[in-house]
Amino acid sequence: MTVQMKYTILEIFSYFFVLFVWTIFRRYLKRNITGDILAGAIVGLFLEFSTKPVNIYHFHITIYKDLPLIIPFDWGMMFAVTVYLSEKAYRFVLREPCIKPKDKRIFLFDVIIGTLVGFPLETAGAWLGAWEYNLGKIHWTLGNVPIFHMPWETVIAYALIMLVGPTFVRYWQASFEGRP
Amino acid sequence: MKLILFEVWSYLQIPVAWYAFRKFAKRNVAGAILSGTIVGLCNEFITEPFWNYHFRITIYKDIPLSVPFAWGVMFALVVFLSEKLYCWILRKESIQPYDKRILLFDVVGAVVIGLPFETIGVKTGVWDYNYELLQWNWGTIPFFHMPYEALVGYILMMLVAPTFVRYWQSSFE
Repeated sequence: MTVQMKYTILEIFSYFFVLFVWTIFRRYLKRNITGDILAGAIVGLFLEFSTKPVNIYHFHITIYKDLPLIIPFDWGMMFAVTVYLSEKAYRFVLREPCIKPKDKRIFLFDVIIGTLVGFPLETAGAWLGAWEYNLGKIHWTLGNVPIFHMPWETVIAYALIMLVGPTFVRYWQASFEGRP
Repeated sequence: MKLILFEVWSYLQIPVAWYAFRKFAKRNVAGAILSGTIVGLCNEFITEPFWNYHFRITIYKDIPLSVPFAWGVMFALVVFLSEKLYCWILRKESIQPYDKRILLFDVVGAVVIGLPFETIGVKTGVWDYNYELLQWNWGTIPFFHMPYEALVGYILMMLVAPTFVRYWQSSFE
């Protein structure tokens, strides 16, 4: 298999993966995550545009330089999964029937769950070659995470992103689905 | 010397902004500044390689301690301006929850407040862009002489961050 073919397969898979996760939520968890994905895609677009030089992508359909169209939606899917699992964990650990509005403890769950969801996906993407880090120029110096062999900076970035992103997703998810 | 004065001001602006809002707008922006600081910290960490700062007190590489707080002050200003414009133009008493039109006014805040702040920071030499890494090539905005990419970055950021600030500000007070 040529490298170009691998990139093509990965690109097709990345589109199907979003649809697959959406279907799983719809079918088995009885939850529509369209609004989560759309809201999360806005956050993803901001993150990707802001940090464009960090990553070198290899997909075909792009929106800005080599940034693939699907990547913001992958962020949206990731935020949807994070929000869902974080809320489950919050309710389970704190024995609450639902999230209390403005309860700052949700940050803790967003950061832990978001990093646990996001970091392995980031690792998989980098290992599979969907993107690579522009390491020669970004000068990350914190070393690598054991086992994953990924820069610590990516873990910290995920933790910080998951501190901020899920609030946007939670706030706008219903509105983006046309629900009141 | 100029940079030292700017660094001192970067800390002073926080109580000054808080006090000015308190006195003239009858509004406590402590929560807005604190929640905006979290967004600022996130933004600065993930974009660290792209800018070179020239302040002395730093928290990670050359990111100055005061910069996330400066983001907090800017977000407090944007949220304030955006809500004023929303209420004035749409003739509302207050923001309707989940009204997506607020996103449009937040973006206006990016242009009216964010871009001039960014321009001042760059022109005064508080930071400069790592152009070699950024590879920005859209040209510059007339009058401001700033890269268009900086404006788009601000617009995207202001689409996201004010929601966070608005949601958490009261909780942080």
